[in-house]
Amino acid sequence: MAGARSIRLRTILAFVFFSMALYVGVLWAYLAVGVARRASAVTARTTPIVQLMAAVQARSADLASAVALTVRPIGADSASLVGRAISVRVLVDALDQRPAAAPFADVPPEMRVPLARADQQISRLKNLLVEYAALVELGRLAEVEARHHAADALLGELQSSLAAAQLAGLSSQVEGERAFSTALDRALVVVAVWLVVGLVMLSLLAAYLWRRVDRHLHALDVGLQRVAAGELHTRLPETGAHELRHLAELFNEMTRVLRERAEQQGRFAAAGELLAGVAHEVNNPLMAIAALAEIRLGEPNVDPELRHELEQIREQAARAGRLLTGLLRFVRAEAPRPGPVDLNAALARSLDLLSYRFPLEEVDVMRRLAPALAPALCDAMRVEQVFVNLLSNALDALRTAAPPRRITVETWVDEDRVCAAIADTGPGVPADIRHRLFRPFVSTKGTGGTGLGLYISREIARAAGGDLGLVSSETGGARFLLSLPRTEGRPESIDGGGAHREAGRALAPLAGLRVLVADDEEAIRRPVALYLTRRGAQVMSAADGQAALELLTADPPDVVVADLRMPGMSGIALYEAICDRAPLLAERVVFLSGDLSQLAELGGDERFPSDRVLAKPVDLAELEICVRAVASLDPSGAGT
Amino acid sequence: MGGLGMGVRAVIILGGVGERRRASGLAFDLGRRMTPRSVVGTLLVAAALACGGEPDVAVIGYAFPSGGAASVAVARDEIAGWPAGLPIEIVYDSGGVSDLPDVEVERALRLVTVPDLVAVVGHGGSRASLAAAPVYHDAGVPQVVPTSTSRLIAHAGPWTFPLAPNDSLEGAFIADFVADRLGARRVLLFYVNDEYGEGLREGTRAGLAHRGLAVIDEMPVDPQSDFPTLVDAALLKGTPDAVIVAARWEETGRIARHLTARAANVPVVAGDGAMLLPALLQHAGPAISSICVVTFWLPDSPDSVSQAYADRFRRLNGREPTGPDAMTHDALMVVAQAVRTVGADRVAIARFLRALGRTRPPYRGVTGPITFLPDRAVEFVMARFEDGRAVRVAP
Repeated sequence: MAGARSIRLRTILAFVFFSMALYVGVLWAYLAVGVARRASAVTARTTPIVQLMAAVQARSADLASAVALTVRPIGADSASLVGRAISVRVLVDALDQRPAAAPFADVPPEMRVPLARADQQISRLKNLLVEYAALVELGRLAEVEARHHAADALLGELQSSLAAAQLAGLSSQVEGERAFSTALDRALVVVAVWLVVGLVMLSLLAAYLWRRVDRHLHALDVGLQRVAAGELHTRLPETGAHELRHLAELFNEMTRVLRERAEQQGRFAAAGELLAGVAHEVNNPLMAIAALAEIRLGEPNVDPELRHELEQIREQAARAGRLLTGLLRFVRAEAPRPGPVDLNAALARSLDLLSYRFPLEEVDVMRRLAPALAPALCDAMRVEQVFVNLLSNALDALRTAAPPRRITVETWVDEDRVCAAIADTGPGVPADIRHRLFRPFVSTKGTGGTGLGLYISREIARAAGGDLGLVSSETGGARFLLSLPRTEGRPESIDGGGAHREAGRALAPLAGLRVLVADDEEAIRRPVALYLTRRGAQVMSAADGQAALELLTADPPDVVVADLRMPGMSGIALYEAICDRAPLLAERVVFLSGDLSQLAELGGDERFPSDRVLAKPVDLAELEICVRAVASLDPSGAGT
Repeated sequence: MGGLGMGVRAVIILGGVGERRRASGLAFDLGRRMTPRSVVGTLLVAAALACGGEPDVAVIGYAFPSGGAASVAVARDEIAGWPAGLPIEIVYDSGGVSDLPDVEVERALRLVTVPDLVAVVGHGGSRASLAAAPVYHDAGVPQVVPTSTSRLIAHAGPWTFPLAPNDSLEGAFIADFVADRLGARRVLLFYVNDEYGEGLREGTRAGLAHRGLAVIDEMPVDPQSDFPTLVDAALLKGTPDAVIVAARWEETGRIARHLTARAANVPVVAGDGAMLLPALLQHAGPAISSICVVTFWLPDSPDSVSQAYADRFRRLNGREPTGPDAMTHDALMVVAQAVRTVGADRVAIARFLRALGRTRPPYRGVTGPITFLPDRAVEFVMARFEDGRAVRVAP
């Protein structure tokens, strides 16, 4: 029923517009008809009066001149009178006749009678003047005086008639002006009343519109502010004009979706938190496993089969560590740090992250990576997020495809762009959602997807100055193309465990280097100490920060290797104490940490040397390299 | 209305008493001038008779100052023979026999106030008709001008319908007559100093120039003119073979009388304005035999319509009809025919009159087929007078 009763806002606006037009139009029409028409009537009445009177007056003046010639000058002889008579005839003959077919058509009716009388008098006067001339021609001079007097008298009558016509014209004019003035006065009153009516109507209209529109818009404004403040359970009443009601429905739908997404995001965030906590607990055993395996591998005469198994233990522990590290990096929210990124490496890490799914889902990965690919300018973690998202989508799409299932990853350089494409042999993107594929909350996975992956991926690409799009695929499946700006510089290396190990084997022994190892985990502390001892260092061990502080106070070492998270005095507190007591030694502290979230927090503290933190599980060779670096030892063995 | 088929009621507005008489008791008062009191009285009576919702009568105003009663009587008689229909009244304003323009404007102003007025036939002269035309234009009343010949009338407005041919044609006819029938080479021209006389003067002068005749002098006249002086002065310029008078009956008669006294056998040829009998006879006296007058119709026309009209006219008025009688009769009857055809609506009547000869057939009048087209064919007749009657001279 509410829907049936609601009026469209555009209908209301059209009605308002029409009403205003009608209001103005009525006012204009009234002024045009009631005032302007009367004003023009006054003008139209004046012009013909003036013109006609001017013409008649001119004829009257000519006749007056002719009458003046009939005055007999004293002592005038017959010949001079004949000459004057001829002049009179000439004047009379030259006198114009009325040219108009309806001579009094445009003058007021009151003028017509005196003007007609004047016409007749003019005719009579002309005849009298002709008679005067005839008498002169006949030499009957004694009679001309009488004609002169008659003509003079008639001229007076003519002028009286003209004066009467003029008076009638003026009266008509005054009457017209009075009527105009009255109309003007009435118009002023009417306009004032009309304006008051307009103001009242406008007020009523404003009140009506406020009730119909502004109230709802205010509610919408408040609702949006509450949503912006995080109150996602805000709802608007679905009432009002059609469009406003629709707006409220959309608002409520939007908050519903936001609530669902927020709950989803919350679960993701909780999972990330949980993962960070678990990572620390897992990284320590992983490092212990890897370090112990490393120690055992470093012993002479190890059975080849055992060596192989130990190497497997070390490699799998390292792999588990990398996987965990990648996951942690992936879920961590950091400000973007654009820089040169090797897309091949980023792709490799992403594939590595998802590598567990490929064999399970029987998916082959074909790599067509350009060798010596130029770096792209972007944030390494975010581009990795894009790749993971695209690869996940591809894996999901391939679930419904018949084998063989394949994902093809490609990289290449196209002028000033570095491009990467991920294609699958799945069913492809349905045509009906292609045009909105990159919009938020659009998903081909039904309730299984957030609908944000592609949207966020494209935003990441565009924020980096590139783009992400769906392009045609030869296989018929989906093919996404990521293009990023090309840049110069050397990409930052994120992972290099194997290289460290190889490099560590080539290093000279740590002969005489005094190293204090502080870690509450004996499973880590002991193999680290053993490794460094085997490498020629003199190692002291402490199970917590306080013990380490006492040891280094009693016997200062060259390098301190400290775990960040220790009971009692943490690694950070230990570092601060070293800074106070032995500032030079503080420059030679290396930290170990299995808690990457803690690392991220420390990254923002300028007082803390975050570049000297090694994330567990740490390859022991890498640790040695780091120890050498802080001790300023030459790799060949010469100390500084 | 008893035996009156069409229900015609001829009304004469009588000065002073406001008396209105039905056709059955028709009476005329041609000699009395209207006074304001009489005008008010007569108009009140007319208003009282015509008051009501839907018009039950169509009133035709008759503003022809001379010979009006005779024409009204004949028209009434003829209309009475029509089948029953909307009653037609003819309001005859007898307030003064004059063609003075101011008097005619006042007459027109009175007429347009008459209730149920559908049209006016009038006025008497070109100047008067032209002066009255704006009154009818303002009131939206069709004005049929029966005898005025000024060419200006054709341009007086959409409500004015001239019936007579214009002065250019009449002037050419006079010039041809003077040249061909009288064999004149030198003519003297008198003219009345108004739109009729000026127009006919110009038309005649053009005709004379076309025929190679010389004009000795041109003298303006009016009824108050000193005719002996003017005639004597004109004759000083030379003796004419003929005298042309573009004036009315009084001027024509008096000029002829004085010419006869001075120059004996000079023929006088006058325009249609002089054709008013017996006034012309009275003013001319014995000189009537020297006068020829242009007219648009004579009772000797052999066609049946003319003969029927002439018989009816003689029966009702006891005298011979003249050209102006026939013209005013045709004017009244064409308006009555319009009322009979389209009713009492003025706009429809004006449209009817305009349509004659275009989308409607011409009205068959006494003076010929009647249209208001510029090229309407009207017969010019030159007449002289024998025993008080006009007889055809030419053609």
